[in-house]
Amino acid sequence: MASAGSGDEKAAAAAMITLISSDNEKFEVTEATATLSQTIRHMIEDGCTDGGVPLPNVTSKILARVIEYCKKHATAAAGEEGSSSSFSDAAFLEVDRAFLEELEEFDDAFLEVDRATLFDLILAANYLDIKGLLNLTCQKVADSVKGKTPEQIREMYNIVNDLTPEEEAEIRRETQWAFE
Amino acid sequence: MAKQNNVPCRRTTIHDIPDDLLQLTFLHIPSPADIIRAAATCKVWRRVIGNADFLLRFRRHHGPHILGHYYTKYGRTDFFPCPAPAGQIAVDDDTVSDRTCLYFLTTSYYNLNSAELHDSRGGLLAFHHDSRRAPLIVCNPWTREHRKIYRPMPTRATTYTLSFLGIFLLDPEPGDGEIGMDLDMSNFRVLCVRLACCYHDGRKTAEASVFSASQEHWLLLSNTMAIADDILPEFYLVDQPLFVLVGRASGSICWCTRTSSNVILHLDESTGEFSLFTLPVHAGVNMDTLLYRRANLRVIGGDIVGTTRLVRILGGNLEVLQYAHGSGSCDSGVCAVERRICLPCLFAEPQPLVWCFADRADGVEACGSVALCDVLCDDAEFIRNRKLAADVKNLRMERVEWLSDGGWSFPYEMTQ
Repeated sequence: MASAGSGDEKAAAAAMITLISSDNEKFEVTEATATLSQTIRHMIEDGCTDGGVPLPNVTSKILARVIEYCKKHATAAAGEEGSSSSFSDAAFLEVDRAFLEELEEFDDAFLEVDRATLFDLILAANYLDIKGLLNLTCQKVADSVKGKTPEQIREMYNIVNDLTPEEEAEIRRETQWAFE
Repeated sequence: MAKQNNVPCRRTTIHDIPDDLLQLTFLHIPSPADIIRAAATCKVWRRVIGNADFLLRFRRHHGPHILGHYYTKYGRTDFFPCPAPAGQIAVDDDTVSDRTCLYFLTTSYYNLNSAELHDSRGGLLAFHHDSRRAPLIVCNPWTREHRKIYRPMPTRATTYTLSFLGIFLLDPEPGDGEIGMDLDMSNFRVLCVRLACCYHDGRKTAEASVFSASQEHWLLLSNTMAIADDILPEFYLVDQPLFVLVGRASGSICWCTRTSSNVILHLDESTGEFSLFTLPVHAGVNMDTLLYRRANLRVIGGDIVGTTRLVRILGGNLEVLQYAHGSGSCDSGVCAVERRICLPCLFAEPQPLVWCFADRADGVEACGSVALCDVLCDDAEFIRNRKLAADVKNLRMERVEWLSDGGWSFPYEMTQ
């Protein structure tokens, strides 16, 4: 929860950062939006964002989605007046209820993507170190496994069953109850 | 990662997710049954989920999964499953009743009828036998592993064991650099507390020994406590416990005596240090005729700085008592009333009823019973600040005609 720059919050909010995707597309975002990513926050703190931030691991398609997420969640944090510019969980808690509900709806809609995009979002959230987005996307994958048999899970994610019959028998023997 | 994203036609799949992110994803899976089915998917998933570090994180993330309670009364032990939390897929009832059934022990222990469930912890149960020659039994009902442990021999040839005060399961000894391991059949520890008596002069001492399953031997904890005769009953039967266990919470175990001495024996689990302390005297209550038992005195919590909290029912009041045993504090050794609540007296009742503490397994709810936390909950702050919530959640108070100790309930945690 670095409170660096809480004094010149207004100036920071106005500052723009350029993010460059792996396919060289440029995105202009406010610093408040960009700093939801810890990776970018550290770059800003180190003062190495002049001339844009290259993100070689993120395609323009995914970066656009990530920025969409960050914009929404940055407004949520900014809506909390008089607090520091950090986007801590505590700050989120204080935002009024209606707004939180709206945010939840946004998150649900945001996750309505195909599997490939979902995995890309997980990788991007991890690379950019955006905790909220990482948890959100991991939860989505975890939920998809709920109540499924191993066979159904393999089918869903195109996983080849490479367990030997012995290994399978061992799992079944040790944890039979989970399959009943 | 950079490479694959530069190939536009290739779609990202779950195979592109590195192990650490898979682990994070699996942490979000809600139930143990789901995690096991996921582990049976492929080699990679099995490796990630089977990782000891992951399993520990998973359990920490979700907290202990209390499957239900073993409730033991009049030598009979039954299992009462907890209702599954909303939104979670429950392990089905038949599996639970099959896996929590203790029948598997009967094939190995012929005299099981006189064995008594004495403790539960992290999915393991410990049984104690009336006969002092019989071994202790530690088992995991879920996996049906079990083993017997012969009790510690008297430390000196000049002493004999007068009575066993109790056996308690302890977490495994923290190893080098490890934050904490899960309790299992290979690493559990058992604390055995007994009263030893010297053949020559009849002097009595309380002793605590710890058995470690990984090292296969008993170790006497350094501190013993001399017990003066005046707090023990003048006449007693062989094998009759001379102290009555009134509870264990937050690393403290307390016993009351069978006499109206107002003296409590306390053991600090982490140091093995015994102490004796006197409960506060209440004006207007004849302390000379007062006998403590589990029905009117319980240990409900404590903290690491050396405070143990007890509750007692005395003369229509519920009292929260605070016993300071930490060596650092100035009032060490003193037990004081921290809070007193007047219990309601209902005039409409035909007979005079008394309040007492009662263990209730889920599903055997009696009418006229209230949860202790509801009684203490006039201001929820009290429970929260004193961190009592976990310890008082299952303890209930009942209005009864006769003060009786009732049964014992032991929470059973699923750890598989």
